[in-house]
Amino acid sequence: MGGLLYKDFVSIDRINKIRLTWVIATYSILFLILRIVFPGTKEFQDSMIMIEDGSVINLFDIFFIMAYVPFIILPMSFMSVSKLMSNDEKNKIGNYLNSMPFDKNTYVASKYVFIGISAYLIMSFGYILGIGCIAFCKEGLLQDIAVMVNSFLVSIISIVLFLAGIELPLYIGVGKEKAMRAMVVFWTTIAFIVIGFLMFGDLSTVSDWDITVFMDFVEEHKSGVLIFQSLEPVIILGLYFVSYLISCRLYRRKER
Amino acid sequence: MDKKLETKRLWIYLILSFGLTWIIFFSFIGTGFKWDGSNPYMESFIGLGMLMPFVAHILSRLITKEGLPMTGKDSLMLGISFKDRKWKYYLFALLIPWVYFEIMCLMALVLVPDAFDSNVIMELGYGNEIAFASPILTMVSCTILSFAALGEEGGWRGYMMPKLIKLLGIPKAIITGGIIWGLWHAPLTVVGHNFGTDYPGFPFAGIIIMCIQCTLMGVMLTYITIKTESIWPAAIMHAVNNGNPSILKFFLNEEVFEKRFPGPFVSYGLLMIPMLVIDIIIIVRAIRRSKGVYYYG
Repeated sequence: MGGLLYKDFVSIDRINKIRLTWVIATYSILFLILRIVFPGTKEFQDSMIMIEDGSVINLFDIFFIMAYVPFIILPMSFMSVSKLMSNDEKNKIGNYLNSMPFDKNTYVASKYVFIGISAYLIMSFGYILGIGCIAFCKEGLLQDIAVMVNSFLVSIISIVLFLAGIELPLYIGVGKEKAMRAMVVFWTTIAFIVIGFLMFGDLSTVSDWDITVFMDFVEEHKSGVLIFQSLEPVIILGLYFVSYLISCRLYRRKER
Repeated sequence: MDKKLETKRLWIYLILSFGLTWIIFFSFIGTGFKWDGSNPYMESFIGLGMLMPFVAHILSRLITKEGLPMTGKDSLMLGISFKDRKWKYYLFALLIPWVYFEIMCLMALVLVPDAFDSNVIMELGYGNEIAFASPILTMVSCTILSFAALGEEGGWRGYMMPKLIKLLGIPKAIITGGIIWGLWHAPLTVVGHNFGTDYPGFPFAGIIIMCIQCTLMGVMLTYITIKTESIWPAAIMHAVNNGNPSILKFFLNEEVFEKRFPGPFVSYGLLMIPMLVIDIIIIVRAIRRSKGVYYYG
């Protein structure tokens, strides 16, 4: 299993890994220099702006909080099911595995474990960045937004894991080509629904949407939000396990 | 085993671990900060500090050229295996903090029955359902977000304890490790994170209590690390412990309790009683079963 996991890690595009490391390192250094070493000095007075509620915030805070979201999305390329499976097909891993003393389920399990580990690492990485943002943010609206983004990180990663749980049986059961086609159909349908809404739907519901209403809703329904947040990953993990069982069955049938 | 070399490696780790963490803690304290209740800003600083022992572990291995093996003997102990009934130690890690926190609250209510208050949960802004679901919710959320505790355990149980056990043997290693771990918390104890600042003997009494508590927890954490050859169950237990899983805590009015028993000593004493009982059970079982033979990593 360890060997299969290492194979998957190595098979991810090396250039992407280097690029990602550089982006993260640059971001961290910028963060340290701009936000911690020179907080509120004369040189940085110009970076302070007043917002609607009268409070003064630092523009660098906005920069880092806005940059926070793509920084979580970037490493999600590690969780790309299509890349993992395409690499296996390209490298004809099936032939190699048949010559090795592996249980048939081990190969399937390695894919699920790899994506699971990636999810945990990305979530932890996101949280570390998040707590960095919060720790060096002034109290107020920006810190509230950073806390909110951070608190929904588990839910976001759970959804990504859920999608992986749908994609994996498809790729394992029907192969790369058909699975990719099915995913294109799925996402195109979603895109059409969104475009349809933008063309014919009531757009005022979006334009009038106020983030404070959402934040108030979360505050009002604290108990429900807490239970949902806590149990959602458990339910998703349960479904992920069911997806693994289905994938094992499909893989065995395919190999027969 | 080269004792001199192992001692040198341990010192490198301790200097890095204390140095990196205390830079964060003191930069925090330097701004005139005092702990006045949990909020995202304070928790974030502590979260960053908690990651440093693992960072120190990795740096120590790079400096001492021990390599970075993920699993096996003298490794980072990051492997997870449920074979040979190891799953029961993961279950232990999840459930045992709930057991000792519940017993602590129960003893507090027995000592001060007037402290029973069904409105505590309402004052926190949650419904009653949260009180009964809270241990499960704490276990789930703390396991998922165990990276900060993994940061600590990756250093203490992942590097310091194996070295201490090699040098001193298990009993002395656990006591020494507990004291080191307790002292590592000292900057936070001084600003009132663990016990506040208003108690007799502040801050030294607080630091001593922290060392005792770390030693008692260290027995359980080291035990499950040895049994599973992994730092994950220790990280899970540490994370769940930090989440204080308990139903009865939502029915315990701390103000009423503290009127009768001011200061942190009685409440922490009550927490230490079940911990001590669990430790004794673990030690007796370990001695009986292993017949004095221990293996770490």
